[in-house]
Amino acid sequence: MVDAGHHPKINVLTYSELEEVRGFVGNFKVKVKKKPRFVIPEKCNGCGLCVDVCPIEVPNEFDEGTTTRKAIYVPFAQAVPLVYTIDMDACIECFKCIEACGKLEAIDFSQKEEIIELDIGTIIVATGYDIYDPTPIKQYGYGRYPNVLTALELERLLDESGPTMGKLYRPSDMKAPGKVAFIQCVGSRDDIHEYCSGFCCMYTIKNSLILREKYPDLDISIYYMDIRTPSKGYEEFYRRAREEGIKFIQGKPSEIAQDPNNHNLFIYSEDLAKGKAIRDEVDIVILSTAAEPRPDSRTLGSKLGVTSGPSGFYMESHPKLKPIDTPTEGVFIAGSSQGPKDIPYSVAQGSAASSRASRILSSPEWEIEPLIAFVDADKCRNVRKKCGICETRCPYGAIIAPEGKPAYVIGAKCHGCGTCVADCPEGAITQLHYTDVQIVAQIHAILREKPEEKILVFTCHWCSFGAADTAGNSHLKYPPDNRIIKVMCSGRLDRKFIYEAFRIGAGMVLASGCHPQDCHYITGQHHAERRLKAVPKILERAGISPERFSVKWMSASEGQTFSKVMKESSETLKSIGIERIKEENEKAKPELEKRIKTFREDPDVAKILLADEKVDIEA
Amino acid sequence: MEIEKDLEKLIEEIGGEDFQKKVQVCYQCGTCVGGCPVAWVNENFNPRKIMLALSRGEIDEIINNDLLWFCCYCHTCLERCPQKIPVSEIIVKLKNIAAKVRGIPEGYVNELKMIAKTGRISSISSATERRREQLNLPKLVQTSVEKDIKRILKQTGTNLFLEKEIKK
Repeated sequence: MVDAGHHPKINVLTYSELEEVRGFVGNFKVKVKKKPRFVIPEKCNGCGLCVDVCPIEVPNEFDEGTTTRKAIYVPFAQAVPLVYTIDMDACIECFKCIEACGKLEAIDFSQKEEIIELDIGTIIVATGYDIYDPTPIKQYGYGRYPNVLTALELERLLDESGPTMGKLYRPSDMKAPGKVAFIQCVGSRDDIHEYCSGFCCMYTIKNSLILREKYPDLDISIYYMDIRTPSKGYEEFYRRAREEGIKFIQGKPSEIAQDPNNHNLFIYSEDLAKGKAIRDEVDIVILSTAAEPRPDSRTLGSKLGVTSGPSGFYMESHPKLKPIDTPTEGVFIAGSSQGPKDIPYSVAQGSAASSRASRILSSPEWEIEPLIAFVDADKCRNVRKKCGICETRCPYGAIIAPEGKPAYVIGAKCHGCGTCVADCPEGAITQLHYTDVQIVAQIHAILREKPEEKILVFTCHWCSFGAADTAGNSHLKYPPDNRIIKVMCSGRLDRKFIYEAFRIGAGMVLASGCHPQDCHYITGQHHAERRLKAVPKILERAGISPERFSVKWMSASEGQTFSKVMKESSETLKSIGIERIKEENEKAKPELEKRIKTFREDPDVAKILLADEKVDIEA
Repeated sequence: MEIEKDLEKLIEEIGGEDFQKKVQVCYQCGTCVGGCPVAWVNENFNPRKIMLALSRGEIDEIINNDLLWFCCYCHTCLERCPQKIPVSEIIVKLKNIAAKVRGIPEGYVNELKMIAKTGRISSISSATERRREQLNLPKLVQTSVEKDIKRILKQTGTNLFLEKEIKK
């Protein structure tokens, strides 16, 4: 930390907040609000004379409120930069600090908030986490019973330079404890926070071993539901704790009671191994509280185009393959802001994020896939009346639809899923390499001969096409009547493609994509699912049996599923019979023709449609 | 067979398709046992094990065990369950099934008899009345057995247990 503060190429802005981020990868314009410290960093030499004279004392946040600090303070001894700050919420403006500072004249009460603008290439969000305050869990008595501590408070008491010089005392009477107990999963894995905080098992074992080393006679028990020690060397550490005589009791305590006379605590729990309720009298109880997202994580995320998951932690772009990427290219997440994690994991993720960021910074130009979308300004409805559908469809914030003006795509932000293209009511958006013309041409080529005997399959690039690939690689057999058209994301699947396929006589159409939570484009599959839900009813009304159209979500590993679906589809096709299909298609034609009207209006697509019709007439 | 049908009905009542979400999510943490006042008196009573048997579909095991009747509905388990499983409410339903299949324990029958006769589980003693007077509490009113109690017993079906007893 100190090294980073001294590094000529690292500029540390503390006591500052992110105000606004604009632009795109490599070209971000960032506004940062610097809060006034009321101390001039260049003049302050960190002597601390001001602290001695300051009459105000408030709870010290760094010591978890176990000690106090003055209104003029540094957060902790190793803070970077080592510059004092005046806490204006506490300061009474007696100006004694100015006197104490004397000739240095480092204190300046006239300082104001300052907004600075920076040109930034890449951004890494590593804003960490907060600790759950267990006061609402009334049955554990935190805040009411002096001897119930949180694990972070214990950490401060065990610190050699902490408030008790590393000695453990009972806060109620400052006596040395004879028996302590840890309670795991306080506020996590329950109705407060559903997730497991992950690192508490290990730090509890670590703290129990530190206590064992300091106080060999101390009786230590750990109440747990499951001990989770999955990483390298962790299980060995757990074994060492058992060797050292730490008692592990399986059972989540229901309640802690206090003896009002001596502040001793009683833990009521079940000992699962014995299958019996137990009551344990201890001196100190330490609650291993949950990690939770920082309260302002969503506001910060919205400034950066970073989304939060249901738990409130930042969402990575893909749970397995893009663990540090965010929807905004050039913005990465690392550490516990993405989810609770321990130090080795945080360091690994931080290193990954910085190397990814430097990859972008070290090249003069940054290449993106040429699959981006663009808007035809002449067709865009947003000019005439408020539309902006495309803007809501883009998970990357790459489309902007300003009021009264045509929408436009920021090419550097577009990832090329095509969801906006399919949902544009005017057909004003085109995705390069997956244009309507190209896809319609494929549909026509596939269905040129004996269309009623064919199953047209739409797949996405990452998952369902992968499933077809896996089926092939694994030599799984299925009937040869399917034909695949691949798009980048199921979000690109325009309903008109399906209507067009049936209009020119397709036997069956199958739309496929990834499972809901696996989308490589975050929300593309979600929009596809919503859009395709209406299709069976429309087809049925037009006269086409609903079983001739189906939607299937599968992952790239599901070769078995793919071959099974193909077999089933083939059987359905046979059971309906060619004659009936032909009959239905003939009947549905006028209705389907209406539904693909915009294809006729697009001269390039219309050309394909007409060319095929001409061939038919000639035949 | 009867029990199996009842189990199906119970699952339906607890939440149908949500049964898994409501009962099978139990991760056997023991919070219910730690706070259970009955578990302190009778160490064999264990709501966690009842939930375990239920989530595994071993309902006869629960019903054939008289321990089920020890639950006194303090609802501490329901309040504190980290998975928000309505443990005590499920036990009420299990008791109803057990009552249908096996009848109710003798102690409960005696209480019922008392209720049918006086409207109370225990009779009002002169000592109670004296204490109430000292504490400035109003006198206990005699409930109308014919009008209210009999009707309640009939509507809840509890009178059937009394009739059975009389037939014996």
